[in-house]
Amino acid sequence: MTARVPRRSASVIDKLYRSLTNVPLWALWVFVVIWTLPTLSLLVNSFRSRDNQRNSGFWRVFGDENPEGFSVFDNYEVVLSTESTNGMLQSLISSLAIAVPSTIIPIAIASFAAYAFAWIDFKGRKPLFIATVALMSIPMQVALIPLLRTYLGGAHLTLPFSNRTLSLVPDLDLAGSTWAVVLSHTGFALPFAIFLLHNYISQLPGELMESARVDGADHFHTYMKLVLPLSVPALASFAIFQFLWTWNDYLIAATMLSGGDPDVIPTTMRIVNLAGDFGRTEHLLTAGAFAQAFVPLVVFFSLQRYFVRGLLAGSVKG
Amino acid sequence: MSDTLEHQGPAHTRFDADGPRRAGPAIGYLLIGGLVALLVIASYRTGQLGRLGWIAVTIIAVLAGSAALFIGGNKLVAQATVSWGRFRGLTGVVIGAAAGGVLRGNQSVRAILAQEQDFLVRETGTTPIDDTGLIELLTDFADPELLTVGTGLLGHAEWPIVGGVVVGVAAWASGALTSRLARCSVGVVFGLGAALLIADRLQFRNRPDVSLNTILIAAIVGAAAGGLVGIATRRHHLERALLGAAVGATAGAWLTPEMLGTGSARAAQFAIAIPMLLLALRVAWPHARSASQLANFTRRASAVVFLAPALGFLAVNLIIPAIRTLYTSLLDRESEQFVGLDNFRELWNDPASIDASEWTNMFGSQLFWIGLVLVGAGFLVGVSVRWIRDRQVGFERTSGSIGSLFLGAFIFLFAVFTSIRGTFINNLWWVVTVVTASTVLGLTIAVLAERAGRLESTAKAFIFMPMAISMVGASIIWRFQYQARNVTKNQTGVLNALWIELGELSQSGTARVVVLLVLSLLLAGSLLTIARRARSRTSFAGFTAVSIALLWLIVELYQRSLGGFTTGPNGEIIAETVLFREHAPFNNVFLMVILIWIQTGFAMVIFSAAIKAVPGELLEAALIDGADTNQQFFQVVLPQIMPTVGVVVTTLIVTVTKVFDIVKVSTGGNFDTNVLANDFFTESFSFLNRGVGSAIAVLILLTVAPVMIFNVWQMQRGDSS
Repeated sequence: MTARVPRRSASVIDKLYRSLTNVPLWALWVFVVIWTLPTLSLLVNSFRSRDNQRNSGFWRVFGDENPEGFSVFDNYEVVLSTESTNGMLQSLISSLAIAVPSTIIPIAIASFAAYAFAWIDFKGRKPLFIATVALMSIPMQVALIPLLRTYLGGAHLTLPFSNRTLSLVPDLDLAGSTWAVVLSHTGFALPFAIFLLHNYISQLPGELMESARVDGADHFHTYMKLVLPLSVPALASFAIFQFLWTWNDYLIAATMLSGGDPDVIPTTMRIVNLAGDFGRTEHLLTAGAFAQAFVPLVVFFSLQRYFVRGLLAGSVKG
Repeated sequence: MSDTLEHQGPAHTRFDADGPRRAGPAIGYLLIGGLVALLVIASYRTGQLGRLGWIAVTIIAVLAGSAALFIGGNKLVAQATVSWGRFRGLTGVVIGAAAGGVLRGNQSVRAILAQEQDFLVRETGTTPIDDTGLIELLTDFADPELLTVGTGLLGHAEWPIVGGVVVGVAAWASGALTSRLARCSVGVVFGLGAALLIADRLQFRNRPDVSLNTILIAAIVGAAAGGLVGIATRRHHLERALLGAAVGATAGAWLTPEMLGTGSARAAQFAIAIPMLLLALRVAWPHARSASQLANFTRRASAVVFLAPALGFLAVNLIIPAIRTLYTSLLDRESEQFVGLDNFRELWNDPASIDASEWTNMFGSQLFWIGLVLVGAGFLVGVSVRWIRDRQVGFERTSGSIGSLFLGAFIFLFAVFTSIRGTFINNLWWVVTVVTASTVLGLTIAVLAERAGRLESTAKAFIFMPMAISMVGASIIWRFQYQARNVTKNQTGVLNALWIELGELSQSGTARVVVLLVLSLLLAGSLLTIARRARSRTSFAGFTAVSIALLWLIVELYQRSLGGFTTGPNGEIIAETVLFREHAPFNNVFLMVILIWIQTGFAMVIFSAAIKAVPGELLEAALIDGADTNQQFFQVVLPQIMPTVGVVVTTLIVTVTKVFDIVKVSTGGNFDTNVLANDFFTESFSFLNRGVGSAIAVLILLTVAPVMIFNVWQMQRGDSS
């Protein structure tokens, strides 16, 4: 009897000890739960009625008593309906109208430049490349206001030492239009895109380029026939990165589009407007925010590998 | 950044190995198809199919136009090797047309053939005017902005056409003719002809009051400068002198006169013809290039064609605006008066930026003393471990010593940042907290996930997911977590619900005792583990931390002081919520949590790849040498991934410095949570103060400048090695 008790207690302590040394693995799952819970709570609440959202937390979802005729998609119905003053549907279209060209245009332009930096030998290539990539960390705020003014009234050059002005770009009336946002995104994305694509394109085998040149192909043909098809994975990585970036952007859109046509504002702006409207529509915010996050989440989960690769290949994006 | 390049190795081989061919495209197409279908349905429902079509058409038109420009540029360069004359001619057409367009577009010249109709521009719109006397008066003396000229399509196209033809033919001759005399003659004839045409059609208000002597002197000065450059570079002396003369003559003719519009017709002719002639001679003078020169030229020309779109965009969208911001930061709020550094001085002296008046509060803060004690403890642990192990005076890096030093410093900084307040301090606080927390958490999770086996990628995907959510969306998500409702109602935010729950627990009877017992048991287990580990000389830093936390919980619970409640006037217990977003200064930390939540996934992914790249042999060798987990991590893994830590930290610093969305959406910068980027937005758009707005933007630039310089330095070092 007396011998058994310490042994048993020792085994209890042993178990406790072992479970404690196993801390790391379940700590990982604690992290996972903490990281997922906020998003999950938003998702759950977006299916609950206004009263339920206001009366209890999302964890009480199974105790909900729903009013007559309530369906779980009601919030989404309202947010996405055509009559809705919140106009989330219009914004979804606007967001796409911004994100798609803002993804395609920089890819093309940056891949030209990345090819030139990697495979065309010209004087001052390295300093120019470093200078281009150094622009990556320039904060957008530094360029935003003058850029907005360019879109507002064209570009004019005031000649030095005199007060004479020469118009280089006429006023194209871009302010408040989707194109102002797209052009800004293109400019700001280029340093990172060039860096990312250069990393990849410069590592293509040199013999391939050499043999193309021997066959009489000039740079244009080498680029079109050889480099472009080979660098599709890198282009895809950047495309996903840039799509998420532009879809989720708020600062540029708010700068270029505020005070303009409410039909062209993207989802992020719409949600900020919705969030400013306290109380009355707060229950719609859950559905609205989730509708906004739905597209990037789908893109992210289905194309995660490319996203991660893009991140690894150019983890200096500001 | 060169360090990232080094890490490319494994990532790139994987790029090639399983590329996009496996399942990738299928999902991709499905996804794009689904999105397009969604888009069409959505636009149909909102009655915006037309808008959608219009957007698609413009996108395609812009892309096609850009593609045509790029391909055209390349074809043009390809012409150089086929026929030098044709290449020059085509280039001349493009340059001439552009020059003609700029001349006409700026209303510098009148139309050649087209009938001009003059309009008076008013704020409300344009009014056609027929009074020729008035037109003359306006054209000659008034502000050119007041008068625009409408001439129809021909009126807009004739100058570009004439410019293209004239410059094109002259340029073709300069490339195709072998005799220098013939080339120069053609150049002189066409240059003179174009100059006389421009001078004849020049608006009166543009005539410069300049003498022939001035132009000639300026041309000679320019020629001397060009010639000196030629001597310095030992090439093309005469060409450089000619170009210098042309530039000098232009500057002398158009920049020296005090004002335009008072000169004679003769002066205008000289002012245009002399630079034109010099330029034509410069183009016509050199002989055709040799084969090797031509190859060199084509290479440089294709580099220009490939780089021009990107560099052009960067110049117009980034560099020039940034320079303009630097300039406007020295001007007043309407960008009219030069005020020097007044905007910066105003920011610096504003107590909203830095308010150190209550810095002595620091010493009353618990955090201050906890931080100091932890730093001291970390130092003691490091020294004593080294002494016990090796009988040497030194500092041993273990998770205990490094951990508590680090944590102590971190907590100490919190004490500083909560006593000295202001926008600048908030920014600094954001950088310190988010960068440290995201890096440490990311590294921890990456190390933990290594052992998760099959479920590793699942776990990582969930941690990483917030990266896909916008900062606006993340702020909305966390707003619901932080929500505080009237205490008479149910709490809907999970954090306040837990906090009030805890408060009720610490006031309850039996439940409190049970929890106290469980906690004590856990503490006992933890202490036992420490004892065991101390005996076997393995690290017990983690368990020390856990024990201290448990002890704190037990004491708090024992004293009934844990959780959200307050005591009413009659001694009754009232529940009390935490106002996460409103209660300064710690509301800042709760906003930072949102960014940490987003950025930890980023740090984790980068670290995970770096850890996998640590060679297994290194770890094995360390194991054979008898290294424990601590030594393995601090002496093998950490040095190996140190460059990656650098990359993650610099990237995070750049991201955090610019943080805007979270603050804007969560508090709008109220409740003592303002940061530079939000201040920039408020000053620029709410207060319409361009000067101070630009100054703030410059400050943000200055904060990231060290990171930029560091990156450039790294890249240059990487290139040389």
